[in-house]
Amino acid sequence: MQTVRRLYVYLLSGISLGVLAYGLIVLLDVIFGQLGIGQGTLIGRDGDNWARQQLSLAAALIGVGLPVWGIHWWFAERGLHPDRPNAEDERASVVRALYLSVVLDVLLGFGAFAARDLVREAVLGFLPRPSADFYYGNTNPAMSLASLLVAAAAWGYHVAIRRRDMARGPLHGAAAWLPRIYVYGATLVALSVTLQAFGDLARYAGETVWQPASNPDDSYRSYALADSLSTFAVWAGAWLGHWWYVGTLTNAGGWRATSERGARLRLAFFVAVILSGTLSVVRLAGEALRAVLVPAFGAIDAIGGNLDGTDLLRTVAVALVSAVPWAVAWWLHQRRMHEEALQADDPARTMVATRLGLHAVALVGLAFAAVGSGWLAGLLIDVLLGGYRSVGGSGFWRAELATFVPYAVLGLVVWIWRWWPIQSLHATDPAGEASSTIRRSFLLIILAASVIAALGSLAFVLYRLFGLLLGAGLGGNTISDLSTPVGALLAAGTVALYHGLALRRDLSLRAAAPPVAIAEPPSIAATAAESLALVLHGPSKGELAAAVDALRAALPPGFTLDEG
Amino acid sequence: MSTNRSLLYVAAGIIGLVVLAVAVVLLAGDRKPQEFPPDAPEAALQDYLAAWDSRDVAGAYGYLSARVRSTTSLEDYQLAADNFASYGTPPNGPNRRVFIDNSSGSGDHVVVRLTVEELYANGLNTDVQRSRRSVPMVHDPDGWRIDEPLVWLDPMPVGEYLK
Repeated sequence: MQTVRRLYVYLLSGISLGVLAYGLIVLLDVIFGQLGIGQGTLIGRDGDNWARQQLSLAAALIGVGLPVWGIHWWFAERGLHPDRPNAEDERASVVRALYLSVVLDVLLGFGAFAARDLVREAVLGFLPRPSADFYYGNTNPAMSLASLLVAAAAWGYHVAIRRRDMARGPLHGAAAWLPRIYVYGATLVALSVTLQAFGDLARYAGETVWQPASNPDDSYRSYALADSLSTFAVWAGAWLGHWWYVGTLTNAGGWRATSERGARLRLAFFVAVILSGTLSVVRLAGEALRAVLVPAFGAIDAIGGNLDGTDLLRTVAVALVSAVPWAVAWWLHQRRMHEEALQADDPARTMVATRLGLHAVALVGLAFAAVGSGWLAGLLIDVLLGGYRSVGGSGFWRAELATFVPYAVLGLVVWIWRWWPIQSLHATDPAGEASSTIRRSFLLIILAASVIAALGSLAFVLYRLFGLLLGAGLGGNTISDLSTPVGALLAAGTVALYHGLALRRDLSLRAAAPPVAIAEPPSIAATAAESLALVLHGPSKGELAAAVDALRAALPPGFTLDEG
Repeated sequence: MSTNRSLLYVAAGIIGLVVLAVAVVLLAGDRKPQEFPPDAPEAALQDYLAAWDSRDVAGAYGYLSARVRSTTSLEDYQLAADNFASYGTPPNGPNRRVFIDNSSGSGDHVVVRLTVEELYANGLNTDVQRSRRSVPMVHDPDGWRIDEPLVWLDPMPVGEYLK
């Protein structure tokens, strides 16, 4: 019953908050317009009652949104008042946690886009004016400023609400991890967008230092530079802010630090950064290698450009410079994950951190190696069996070769680099590694991806074969049409076979391992001499439980708190 | 944070903002167009738009350059203007405002860059669309003139599209 009530209250709060926010944005836009903020010089007559029309709309939206949001949010907040019997349940409710997370997410995204538009307009003021304004016709600085102010105010209000909820005592389960999804999700997205924008900036810097033979339109360059610069500045700010906040949480004392340091979502965040860092580094290093291989394989004509040494130098330099921050982010997060595991003084957690770091990188390396080698195998089949992919035409197969050789080589190097220590760990403690959830997940993910890739390829191969047998006249060159799917099938099959066998060996090892003895908890009599009985009083049962949790979290190592 | 008090502050702040906006709009009224020196290209563009606002098609035609007028007759321009009035101007078309962003060029040729805001209002469904225009201006013997066949600020249809 309470859950249904909460769903109603928070859903209506969210919808009416949206109406109210939009009304406020239109209202601020009207004020800014009247004051001439963010607009050029009015030349024609002002629109017929333009401001009054917009003001009517804003007043209507606020007139509806403010009371409906106020009443519903008041209901939501009233439930948390210390005098209310279910105040603790309300504070720790999943629906409230979900509401706050969604609202913070939406407001952050909305505010960030508005800030990006605003900064972009400011940056464009310092750049050569584009000859064609096609690229940014719809940006309105007044509206962007209004959106930013409203989103920032609403975001700040909800952050204060969440911090107040956390200050009242420990939160567990979904009430703790749902808002954590927001914090770590926002940090991850902000970091990724920042690094991506850095890569774009590196490209424009490269195009400025080493002018391309085919000079792109200046309008495009001005707009693209302003866009990347503003995206970089805004999302870097968002990343720094969130990362700083996460730092304050982990460095603070009490339940929040304990809860944060041991959070699985925090670990998942580190793994996500390691995965995206590895992926980007291999991709960008592949781009650099491809730039070298294109002329080496005689594929310049195939990619349709008049590439010269400057283009080669620029492509290699930009790709490598863009890869550096990704590599740094990967290294820093991996190191932080290990440091935190070591600080926890728990060998099992250190092992988990080691396994996660190794398996995440190996997974990305294997993915690149499999895709690259599958494509190359297809090309080889085509050449050996007399297909037409490598005959005549523009020599597009050379460009394919220049693209997929780097993926295959770099992926293989990365995979071996991390698979080798994984195998060493396995050799040292076969049973322990075989029972590791991380290893099992790694093998199953690879198996699943291989089977899915093989399914599509096999279906296409069978389609062509059945078509041939039934005389369907499918056209084209059968060998060339089948070469890529067969290559993918070979790669997926090899990967699946290798890792499937590893999974089977692990299964045997787990079956052969002696059952783990479950240690008996020490009896109360045995520990009576070192125990001290206390009686805790509090306003309600729920708050008593929360206080006990807080006490448990603050105990030094070697102490336990048991309820009698 | 006291819930009741913070909610009251939020509500009071928003109501105060609405009152401020109403006061600004009612007291300040509609924004007045900028005044330019009579010999400025912006002034010619402003007069051209004023002619359009008063549906003075022949007057607007007079603000096109001699080069443009030599290839576009007043009859064709009137036809294009009539078509435009049937869909492009209030009450059929959107409510519009025009702003000057900047001007560039020197001597007898200047490009004036504009932002056009169009308000499509239909009850609560209100949409403001913005677009940028670049208007080439040339200094003819009789003053600054628009050196492109424009109907209001849109390119003028030609040939079959004029009908």
